[in-house]
Amino acid sequence: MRSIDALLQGIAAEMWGQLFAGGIVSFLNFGIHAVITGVVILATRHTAKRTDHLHVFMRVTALMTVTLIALTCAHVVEIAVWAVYYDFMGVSFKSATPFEFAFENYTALGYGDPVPPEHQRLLGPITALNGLLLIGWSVAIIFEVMRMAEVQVGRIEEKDDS
Amino acid sequence: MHGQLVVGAVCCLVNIAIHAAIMSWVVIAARRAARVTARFPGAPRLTVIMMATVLVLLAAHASEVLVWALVYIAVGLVPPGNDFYFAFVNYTTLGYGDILPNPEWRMLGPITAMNGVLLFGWSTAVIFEVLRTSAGALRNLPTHS
Repeated sequence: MRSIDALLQGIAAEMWGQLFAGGIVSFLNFGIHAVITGVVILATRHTAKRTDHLHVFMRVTALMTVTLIALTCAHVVEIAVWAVYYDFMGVSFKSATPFEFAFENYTALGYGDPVPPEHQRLLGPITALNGLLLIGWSVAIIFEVMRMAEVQVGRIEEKDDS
Repeated sequence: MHGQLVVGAVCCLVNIAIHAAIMSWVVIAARRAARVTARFPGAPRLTVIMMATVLVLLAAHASEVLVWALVYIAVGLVPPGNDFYFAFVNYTTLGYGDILPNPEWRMLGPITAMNGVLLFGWSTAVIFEVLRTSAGALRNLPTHS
């Protein structure tokens, strides 16, 4: 019980505020990623239709390229959202711009030469938590597209067998 | 050395239990949500279900960081008041290096990171499961038969 008290004291009131604000920015990014999930679905459908006559190698290459381009753009936009939030909070860092620092946090690189200021120090870890979850989400999408591509390869093998 | 490993392992187990409980609840709830909302168009349905799933996972990870912070306080790993911040920096594998742990317990940092990476991987699997079974949006890709 003593350690719970100590923890609650350690997480001062402004920390809960940081967590809450970070949660809202995270939620915004989840929205962006959900929309991108839809875009990837539409784009892969379109690509699959357009490349239907091509060899499976070309088809899978096209599908994966389209997917990864969309996801990479989404991540950069989400990093930009964090950078805008850093700027809005008036946080400045000696050796990095907000976008650079947001990028470093989002990818969990954490060089440590710019660190968040004392009154906003949870910004970095919350960005990392958000980034890791969204990268996980992207991995799930990539896997789903790969599975779809696997079906295509299966079709070729069936054709070869018959 | 052994003490650190034991404490770290116990904390990992607690977090695994937390994640297991939340993850089963998320998978079941997402399925139910998909069934209940079956009459709505696919795109907004997918958006809402995915956002809710990831938000719950975010909360799960935050509470796991909290568990680590409690352990840090119990062993006095870092100066008071830095526990939650340091646990968060470790859990997300950020590792700024602006605060260093008490040398007697320094294995706890890497163990936290290992636990975090593992649980993030688990979350990825959950997101995949929800994307596949509840939303099922990518399944019907046009193919020529």
